[in-house]
This record gives sequence, structure tokens and C-alpha cells, in this order.
Amino acid sequence: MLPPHQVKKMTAIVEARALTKSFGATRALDGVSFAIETGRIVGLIGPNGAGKTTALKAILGLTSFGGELKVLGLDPRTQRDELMRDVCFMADVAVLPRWLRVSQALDYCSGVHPRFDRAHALEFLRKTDINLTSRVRELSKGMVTQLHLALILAIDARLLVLDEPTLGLDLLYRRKFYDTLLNDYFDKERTILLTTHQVEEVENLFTDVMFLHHGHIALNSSVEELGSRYVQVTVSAEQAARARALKPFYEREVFGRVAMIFEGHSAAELGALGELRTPSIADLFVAKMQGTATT
Amino acid sequence: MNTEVADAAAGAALKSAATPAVISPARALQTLVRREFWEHPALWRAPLVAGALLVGVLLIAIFTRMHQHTTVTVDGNAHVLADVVHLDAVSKVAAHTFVQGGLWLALSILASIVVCFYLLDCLYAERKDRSILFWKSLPVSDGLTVTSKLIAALVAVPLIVFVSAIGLELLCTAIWQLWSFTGAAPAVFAWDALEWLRTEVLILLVTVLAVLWYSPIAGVFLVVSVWARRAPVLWVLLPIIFAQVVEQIFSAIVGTPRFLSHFINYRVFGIWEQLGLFHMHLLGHPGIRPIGSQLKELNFAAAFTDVDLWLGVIAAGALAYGAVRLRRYRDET
Repeated sequence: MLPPHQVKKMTAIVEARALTKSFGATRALDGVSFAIETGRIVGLIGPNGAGKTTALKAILGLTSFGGELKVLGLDPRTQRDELMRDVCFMADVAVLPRWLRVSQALDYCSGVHPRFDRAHALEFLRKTDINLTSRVRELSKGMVTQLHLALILAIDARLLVLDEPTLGLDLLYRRKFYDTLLNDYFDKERTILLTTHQVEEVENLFTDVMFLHHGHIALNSSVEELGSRYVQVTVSAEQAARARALKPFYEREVFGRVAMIFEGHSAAELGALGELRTPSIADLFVAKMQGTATT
Repeated sequence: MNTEVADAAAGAALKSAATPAVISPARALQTLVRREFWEHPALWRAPLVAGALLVGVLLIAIFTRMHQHTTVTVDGNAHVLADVVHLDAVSKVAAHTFVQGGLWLALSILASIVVCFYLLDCLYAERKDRSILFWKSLPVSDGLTVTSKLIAALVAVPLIVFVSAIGLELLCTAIWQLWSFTGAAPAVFAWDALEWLRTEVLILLVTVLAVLWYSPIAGVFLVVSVWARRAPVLWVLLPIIFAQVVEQIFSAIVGTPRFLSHFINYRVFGIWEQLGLFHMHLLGHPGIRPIGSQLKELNFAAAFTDVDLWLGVIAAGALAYGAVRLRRYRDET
């Protein structure tokens, strides 16, 4: 994923320039620009009300917006029907209609989606306890997710958008969901855009992260870049003053020691102060949301 | 682990090799209409259940009275009904067509009520249960979605009613005939293929006319269904009731004409006046006349060329387009 200043003519699967969306006086998206390249797994992370779902809905052509947005080279506002042949999305698990039978879900997708492979969906369902005659309302929440995942995996889409797909599921189903996504679905031709609040569980999945805060991008980087850009140093109380002189953008006390996150400092520069490590995405998220610095 | 799905998977693997890269709008539309019947089974169940109930009641009546001859009192004396009722041959044929028309009308009224609730619910329910996000995750345009709902309501259901009424009528009259052979029931029906066919043609033409005439109401219901954030039934009923009350008050106090009442009355019954449906001559000499005999007497030419009929169809198209536009940015909220 490219940061806003590098957004230019490219082979990006999603390309947004100065994206805006307001709800009354609230600006859900305030001039957001970004690009997502093919073959990436992008985590769109932000607190509630940050604009994540609005951004996803704009990408999916589900809401009106200002600015420029191209998804697979198409405008979601005017070319949504064409776009949805190559884009698939899954909101949380509650959106499959409760009256629908499993067999009907397969019939429906086969009947309307040219890239849906019924055999593939059935192959996936075979590994589960889901019966074709069951209605969605008769399935557990985890099974509904498996069914939805079976439908999605069977669609040969180029962009998969997931908005809190594992909300309300237990850890076992969450783990299974992401393992399946990674092993059975993702490849270099496909792109996944994912929002979740359970950052710690999926941060190893991401190739890129984008933090949204109050309708602005607070961080936009590949995961590889994070390691060279951000350093977390855990210093003793005695070293804290020396470390603060280098202007960390976030700090917190941990068992009498102070963990500080720096941006733009080399490991060599900070090594003498204390224990170094690359901050986790969850730590960086908290730091960015609570700290003062912005990219 | 799951043998039911395993068997289906084997079959699907064979079929998937032939899966087309493009799905034609006709095939998508067919799938969408099927979807409507999955979600709203009352659309096909209501006429069938009503028909089955009717047959059930008829059979119960026959079996409970199998050995009792129904009696009626004529001139103070009790007579067996079967001995009293004597219809001439033409009246027996006419009676058969009355059953045709009566059953079709009963099923149509029932189906119309179901369709009204369906139209008010179809674009509202998908937001209420948030499934709109699932439907919109697939490459189906809003235009095709709204069209499928109109086809389900205005084409598929009337066809189901038409076919169900034929089956029901044949079954009921056959049961009655068998009963009448026992002497317990009067033999009041006679089969005449031409009259039967003429009556079915008349019913079919009336069905088409009804669909066209009431299509703007279907359009209004769709718009309310996609627009209302809650209780679409109330959004349809309350404004009409309120406006009627206000108009009646003004009419009583100031003496202003009741335009709305007249308009509603016209949109409900207008085309049938034009057709002459309320002035059918079904009483002949000496008995009754088959419904099909009205095929020549009803003014179908005037009804089908009525300007208001086609203005209504245009209005229905405009309202359906409005529903499409409104659904464009509708989501689960």
C-alpha cells in the first residue's frame, strides 16, 4: 500500500484521492487518499466512528461520497454492478438472511454470480457439519460464518472486503476463519481488505496497515516498513529522561519501567537506552490513537 | 464427515465444468424470482392452502352426509334437495362456469391481500434483517432486484392463482359430480368444453386487465417499502386515512368536493365500470347463462385502450424506477 504522497498513476486495485463523506456536521472521511496494490492483505484499523465502515462502503459503492475513487479501474458510484463481479464482501456474520436454506444460498449464488463455483463451495461445506437442508436460523453463529466463508471462497474475486467478519465468534472459529482465508483463498492475484477490532489476533496476517482516526489516515504503511520506521524501547526509570529528550510519540509505564515508541530513529541511536523491539501493530495503534504525532 | 454435502459436491463438480462465464439477465431474473418465493412462501402457499382447505371441507361434508339426503322445505313439506333442484342443460353448464369464476375470484382476493403485504415488506425486510448487505455483495443490479419483485407480484402470483383455480375447480366439480351420483346431492353441473374455455379466456383477460390497472398501487407499495425506516404498512395506510378524514371534515364544513375519495374509488373500480363488469347479463330465460357468454358483451376493447389504464402503467414504471434509485444507497441502517 502506498502512502498518500505517492498516490499516482499505478496498477492499484483501489485508488482513492481526497475521499470525503459527511453525516450532518460529522465528517466521517475528511479528504482521505490512499492506494492498495494487488496481492496485499490490508488491515484497516481504527476506533469506533473512525470512518472504516464508511470507507469500505465507498469502495463497495454502497454510499455516496466526494473525491475520486477507482476500484479495479471502475467508479463504484456508476459502475457498481460491473465492479461486483470481481469484488466480494462480507460484513459481520449476521447478514445472511435467517430464512435462507444452505442449498438455496448455493442455488442463488450459482444463479447470479458468473464466478461462483458451486463444487468449490460444496467441497468446503463437506468439511463442516452444515447440512444442505438447514436454514441459517438453525445454524450456530460459527456455522453461519463457515457457510458465508464457503460462499466467498467459491467466488473467484479479485478483491475481498471483510468488515468485522468474526465479530461475536469464539476464538476457535476466529482462528479457523483466518487460517482458511490465508490457506485456501489468498494468493498474489487477490487482495484482501479487512477491518477488525481484534488486531492482536490477525496482525501477523497483514502485509499492510492503515489506521483511520476521525476521518483521517493516522498511519499508512506496509508491515515491513513499520520495522524500520518505528522502534519501541523499554527503558528504566533512570534512563527515562534521556530517552524523552529524543521525543518519543508515545510512552507508558510497565512494571516500573517505561515503554516508549519512537519514529524515525535508528536502532543504533536508541540501543544504548534500553531493550529494543519492533512495536506490535496493536501497540502502534494505541500509540497513534493516544499519542500526538501523525504521519 | 458430511455425506449429504459430499454427494452434492460430486454432482456439482461435473456441472461446474459447464458453468457459464456470463450469466444472462434472464437466468439471473429467474433466480431472483425464485428467491422471492423462498423468502415469501405465502405467495404460493396461500392459494394452494385455501384450495386444499376448500377441497377438505367439501370432502368432510360429503363423508359426514354420505348416507343422509339433504332436505329442504317446500310449501310446508320436506323434500330431498336432489329431487327439488332441477336445472336445464344450459344452466348446468353455467353453474359450472360460476364455480370457475367464483373460485378464481376467491383465490384472487386472497392472493391480492398476500401480494399487498409482500410488496410492502420485500424491500423493507432486507434492511430490517440486514441481509441487504449479503444481497448487495453479489453482482445483481438494483434494477434487476426491483424488477424481480414486480414480476413475482404481478406475473408469477396471478399465474399461480389462475392455474390453481383451474385445478381446484376441476377437482371440486368432479367431487360434486361423484357425490351427486349417490343421489345425496343435486346434479347441478354439466361439462361443456367450449364454455369452460371461454370462461377461462375471460378470466385470463380480466387478470391481465387487473394487473395493469393496479400496477401503480404496486409501484407505490414498492416505494414505501424501500423508503420507510419502519412500519411500511402504517406509512401506506395512515396518510390515506388522515387525508380522507381531513377531506371529509372540509367537505362537511365548507362543502368542498371529495377529490381524494373519488380518486381512490376510481383507481379501485374505474376499469371495471369501463369494462361493464358490474352490468353482466348472467340471468337468461329460463335459467342462468355461462360466464364465458359475456366475452362478447364485456367491452375489453374500451378497457384495454383506456388512457388512464396506460397512464397508470407509466406511473407504475416511474414508481418502480424511483424504488430502484432509492435502493441504490440503502443499507442496513
